[in-house]
Amino acid sequence: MNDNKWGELEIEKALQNSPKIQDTRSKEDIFKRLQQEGIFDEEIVTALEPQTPAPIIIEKKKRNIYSKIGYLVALFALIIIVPLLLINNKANDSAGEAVNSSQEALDISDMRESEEIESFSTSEEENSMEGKAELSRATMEISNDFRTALYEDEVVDETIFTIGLSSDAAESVPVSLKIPQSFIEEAFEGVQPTYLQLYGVIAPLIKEDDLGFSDYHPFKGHFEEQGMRLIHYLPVNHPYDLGSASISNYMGALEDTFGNHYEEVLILNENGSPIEFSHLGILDEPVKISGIEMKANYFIVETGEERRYLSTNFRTRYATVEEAFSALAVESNDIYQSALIKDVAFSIENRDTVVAVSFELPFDVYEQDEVRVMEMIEAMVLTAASFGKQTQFINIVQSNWNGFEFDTVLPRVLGVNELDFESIEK
Amino acid sequence: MKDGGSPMNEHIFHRLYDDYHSDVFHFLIYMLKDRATAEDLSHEVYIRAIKAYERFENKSSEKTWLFAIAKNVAIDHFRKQKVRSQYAFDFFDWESEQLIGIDKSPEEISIGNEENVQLYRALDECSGDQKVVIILRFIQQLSIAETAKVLEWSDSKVKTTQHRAIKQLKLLMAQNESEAKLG
Repeated sequence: MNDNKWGELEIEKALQNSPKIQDTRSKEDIFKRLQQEGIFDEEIVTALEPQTPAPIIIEKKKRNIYSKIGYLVALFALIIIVPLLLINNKANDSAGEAVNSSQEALDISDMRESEEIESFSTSEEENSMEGKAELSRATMEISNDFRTALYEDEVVDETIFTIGLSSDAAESVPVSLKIPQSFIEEAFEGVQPTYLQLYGVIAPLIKEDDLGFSDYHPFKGHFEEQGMRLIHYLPVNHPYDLGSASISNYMGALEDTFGNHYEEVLILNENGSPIEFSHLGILDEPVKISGIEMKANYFIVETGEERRYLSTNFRTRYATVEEAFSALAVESNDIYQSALIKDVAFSIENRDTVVAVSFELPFDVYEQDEVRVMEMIEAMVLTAASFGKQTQFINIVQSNWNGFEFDTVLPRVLGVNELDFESIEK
Repeated sequence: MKDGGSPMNEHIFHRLYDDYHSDVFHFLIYMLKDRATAEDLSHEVYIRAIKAYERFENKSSEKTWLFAIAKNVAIDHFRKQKVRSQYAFDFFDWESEQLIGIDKSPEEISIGNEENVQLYRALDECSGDQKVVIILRFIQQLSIAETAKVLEWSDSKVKTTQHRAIKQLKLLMAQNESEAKLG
């Protein structure tokens, strides 16, 4: 073979003569598959105003687990569980749990036609919904709120502690606690601990099994702090290299637990030598970790015990907040479910420090399952927070709901999936 | 759920299929080098295209618009693949990353002579921007202007990237030959 065999011209010609590869499926097969996905069931929104960001139409995949049986379970939930909730006044920490999954079967959305953006008369809409809203508000006073994230406006003399919990069903899921200053002062005898020290005290208190997670914390081995770097020394036979999933869980748990307080984690063998993971090779560089601002979007994940949490989708990062919002509707696997409500169209505007989410039609939170609504709203709020932005909602019928003031920008998010510290402490 | 399907959406599908399916599938299979994945992703392309069709503003041709969607679908696939397999903490920058399909190429690609197979393997070793430009420009035979539209680049960036890609392929193929001679 001579030296000119692969000159530039030859390469171009070879590429141009690449074999033409045909799809062996018929057009009918492809059409049927799309039909099964329901893509032809959606009407396309038309008549958008010029310059208006395009609405995102949600089309969630059908979920097998919510079948006809789910309807019966939902009836049971209405009859039995809801009264219990009202009595126990504990909706806050259980909003995403059993009732939530059952109520999905009752998610009878009004399937509004998405034809044209209508002019919105606040007074008229509010009047028509008055009776229903009043009833719901009365219920709210008893049943507490459905918010699951931790917001700036509800933290007083408390430290936010976040930890990534692990399950077989999904990757690490972050949960957050408000640790009262009084507890910290008592536990550390008046000295303010570092976050690592706080982890050492709080992590063993969390009963992961009860929350639907595996028994994972505290991490094996020991840690050392070097400024914004954390060093994790792992013992021989540590459990974090049993396969790609266990590595993924481990890395995720490290990021979810320490990402708000440290910039990177250097993982070493117990003797200080570089560690080797079977699927990653030798890790001789520290692993960068992000906290809540990881530039991702949020989905619903169910762990054991039918508990539901908001989590990123395998930590998929996006370059822009617009891309992250667009992908909120995309269920790319069976683990993470879209939190968006079917047929609720919205557009977003990325402002300086705020993402404005405009519902195409007036959105009445009481016309939907409220847990579902909260999941959708918080998935959006958390997605915006992931890019360091707050959220403002436009075109929600109610001005107040579950502690949110929709007339203004929602407060900054400090943590995801709040757990009640008092229940942990017991 | 409404009764019956949307005739408009079905009409869009039929037209996109008739006009572009062959080209889009061809593009995806050279990007992914796996028939099953290309089939899945072509499905995703239709879903995104039908949903976004009303936003298509005729600022570009329908063909480049659809290829842009196909490119994004493929990049998303590589992004997810990397996140899952290697646990990447950083952004997935497709232009600088390698977009490596599976090692075993579809039979149709492998039917060519061994040297051509090496050329496709070398393509995987190029950066993502180089690989995409090569596929669009030479395998799909889009023009500079069409490629620029698909990638939302300037014409000059397409030309520069193409030039560097060909140089890189030439270098990689020369290395392959040297190794073959030594081996």
